[in-house]
Amino acid sequence: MRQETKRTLRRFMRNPSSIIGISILVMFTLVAAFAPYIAPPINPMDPSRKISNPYIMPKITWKAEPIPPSSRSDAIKSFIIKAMKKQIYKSKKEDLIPVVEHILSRVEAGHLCEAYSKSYKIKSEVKKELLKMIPKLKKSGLSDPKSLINSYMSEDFVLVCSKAAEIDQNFAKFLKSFKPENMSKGDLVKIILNASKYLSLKDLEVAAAKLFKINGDVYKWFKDKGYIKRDPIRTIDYHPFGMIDGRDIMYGIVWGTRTAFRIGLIVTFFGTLIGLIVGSIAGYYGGWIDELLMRITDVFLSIPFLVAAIVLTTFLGTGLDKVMIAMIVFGWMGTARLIRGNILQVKEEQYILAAKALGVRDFLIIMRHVIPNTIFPVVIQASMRMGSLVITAAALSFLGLGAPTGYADWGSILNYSRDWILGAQGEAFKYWFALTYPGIAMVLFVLAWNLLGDALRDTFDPRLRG
Amino acid sequence: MTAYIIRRLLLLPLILFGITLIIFGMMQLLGPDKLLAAYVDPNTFDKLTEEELEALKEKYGLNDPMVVRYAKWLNGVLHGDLGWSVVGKMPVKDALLQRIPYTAELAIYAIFPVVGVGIWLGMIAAVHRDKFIDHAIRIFAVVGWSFPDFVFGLFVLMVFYSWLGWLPPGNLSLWADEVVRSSQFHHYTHILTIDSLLNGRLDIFWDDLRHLIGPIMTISWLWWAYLLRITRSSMLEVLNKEYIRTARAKGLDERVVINKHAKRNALIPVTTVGGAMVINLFAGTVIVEVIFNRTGLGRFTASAATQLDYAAIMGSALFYSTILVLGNLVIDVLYAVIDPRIRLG
Repeated sequence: MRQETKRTLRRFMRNPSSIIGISILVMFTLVAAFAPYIAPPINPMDPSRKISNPYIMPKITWKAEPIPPSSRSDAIKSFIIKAMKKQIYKSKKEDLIPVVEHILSRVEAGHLCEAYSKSYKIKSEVKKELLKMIPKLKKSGLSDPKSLINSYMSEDFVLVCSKAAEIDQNFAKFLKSFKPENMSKGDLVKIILNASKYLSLKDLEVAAAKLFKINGDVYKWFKDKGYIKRDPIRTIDYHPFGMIDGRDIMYGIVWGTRTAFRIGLIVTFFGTLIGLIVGSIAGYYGGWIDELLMRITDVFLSIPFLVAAIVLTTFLGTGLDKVMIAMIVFGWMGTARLIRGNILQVKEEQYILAAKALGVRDFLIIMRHVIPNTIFPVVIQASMRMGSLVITAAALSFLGLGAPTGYADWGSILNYSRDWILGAQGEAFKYWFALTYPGIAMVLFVLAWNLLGDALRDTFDPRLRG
Repeated sequence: MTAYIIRRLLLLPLILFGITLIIFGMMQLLGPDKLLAAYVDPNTFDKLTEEELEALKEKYGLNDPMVVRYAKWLNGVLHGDLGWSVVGKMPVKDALLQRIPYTAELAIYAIFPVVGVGIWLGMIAAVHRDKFIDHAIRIFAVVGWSFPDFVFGLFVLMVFYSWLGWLPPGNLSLWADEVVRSSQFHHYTHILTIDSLLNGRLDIFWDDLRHLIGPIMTISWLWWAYLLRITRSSMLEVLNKEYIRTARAKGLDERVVINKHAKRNALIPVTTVGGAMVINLFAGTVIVEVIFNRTGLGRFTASAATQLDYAAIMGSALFYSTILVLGNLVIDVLYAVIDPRIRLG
């Protein structure tokens, strides 16, 4: 027995993938353990003060400059709209017409309708036109369109407009048939300001270019004019991995290591535990209990894992603990199936039958023969799953469902980075650090667990042994 | 064979029933107050008094016993009434139907490179076992399998959009979008690549393709690694079989041994995995669609989740699960047709 263990261990330690995997994991463990020394949680505004929750990345702000916006496109959009506002009030009516025309062609009917409606005169015209459509609306199944229009006129104008636009494609055309030339300057201004909220960044840039008569890169023009002030910065002295959204990337990665380990270990442990219990009950008792438990497993397997995690996290409310619960609830089925299959197989083995014939008690049989012969595949599977679980949690954070704002978590850092990565035109790699460093951390972490799992499987899989 | 298919068909409604139970059960976690928010306009919701809230709860039957509510909800679902989607500004059913073609287009085109290249790489690795090329492919597989799709997708965007400007995000360029929305453009199949060809607009076809390549690369990268590992191990297993040795011993050309004797048998387990993978592609488009800013089921689900559009989330979860269940059924039946051992066992 000892000889066998020694031989297996030697084989495991000589496997190159286990060496690489273990050394990466040791590195991550050290980073996680010494996180307070590598990235001390101090208040950046006042270095002598420690911050209370180290898992919230400290945000660095400067008094002279505004707080960095959370999303690049939102920031630029608000800057452009602000700049446009100034220009619009200054400019003549003729300057506004091409802008309005551009907006008319780019905004969806419903939003256009709302933009119009903000100006009272036009609102009444739209209402008149809607009332003309009553017979059509009735035909399409609305029982009382008139009162619907009246009630929505005041509140949810977009809704009724978009519904009407769906029913009648011509409605959109009708909206476009408004002639900007015949409108007063006040109405034009209102339309531009109301509708620019609904424009995409690209359309807004085109509209701004038309208004300011810019040829070329709108973003650069605005930056040169001083409208757009803050970019993510990368200064070697204080922030070796750069900064994103006012937060130090290195801090996020270092403390995110702890988050990754916590998510991976907790979810794997409880998922495997539930799977072990369900699988052993099903496999050991058999009969209708087995059938019932396996059909329940089938049902849980029928909802795609990522979708199920998204749904349950949404219903539970966002937060890391909720993400973990969601992943445990939908993450035990693989283990259950595996352990059940193994128990069924082992139950028929000669040595179990021999032990039974010798009169060994059931409990001893399970502890001495069944568990040692079925547990290794579970361990291997668990280590393989660690990586993918951490990815899924990061994906949920990336979608904005997981960790709260500012939490040190790799997925969240990527979420911040995402808006800056596309960079300014001509400077594609300006914000490369915002993606590369968290990306490398994530890939290495997952790689380490996968390599470890591979090595475990190669060493312990009975089919490859001997 | 028939008995097997009948058994699977009988289980199908049971599983679908179980799925509705789980999804309904998850919704109950919200509690009656939040459930009410799904019915009432959020602007007026804050102004309501306690009594009015109770009256509304009574009106929508939120105080009924759970069984009654479940029966009502199930009845609605069976009649195609999935509720009103705030994100889509239309009934959930319509919103889902409208977005299926976009996701289907992406998933269908992704299948070709994934399956083709994945199996090809796996075969090469197995045939050249322990040679340099095998090690290279295996390293590629391990690294690829560890690369989260959203990290890879963002790299693709950075290099191929920001730097080279080849593969823009979104569904279509602005000008192409205008043409597609205009009345001259006929939607025969709602799958844009086919429609554009039928309309004789090669420029739109090319534009659509340009927007598809990035997401497809991202999806393929992850699944290649997976598929090639399975193909490799399955092929290695077959290559160790007696009949391969026999075939070699009787002096057959190595190419014939690989292509005729080994490949066909090695591909049987790959078929199941490949089939399951194709179905999972559908669910896997969530992240890719969000990164590349594409209209589709995945992005709809993600934005419904972030904007707490409960009806839409439940609708999409039901939809995804139904696709998964039906797809698995088709694969199992096909598998039974391909492999006689399953049929008899």
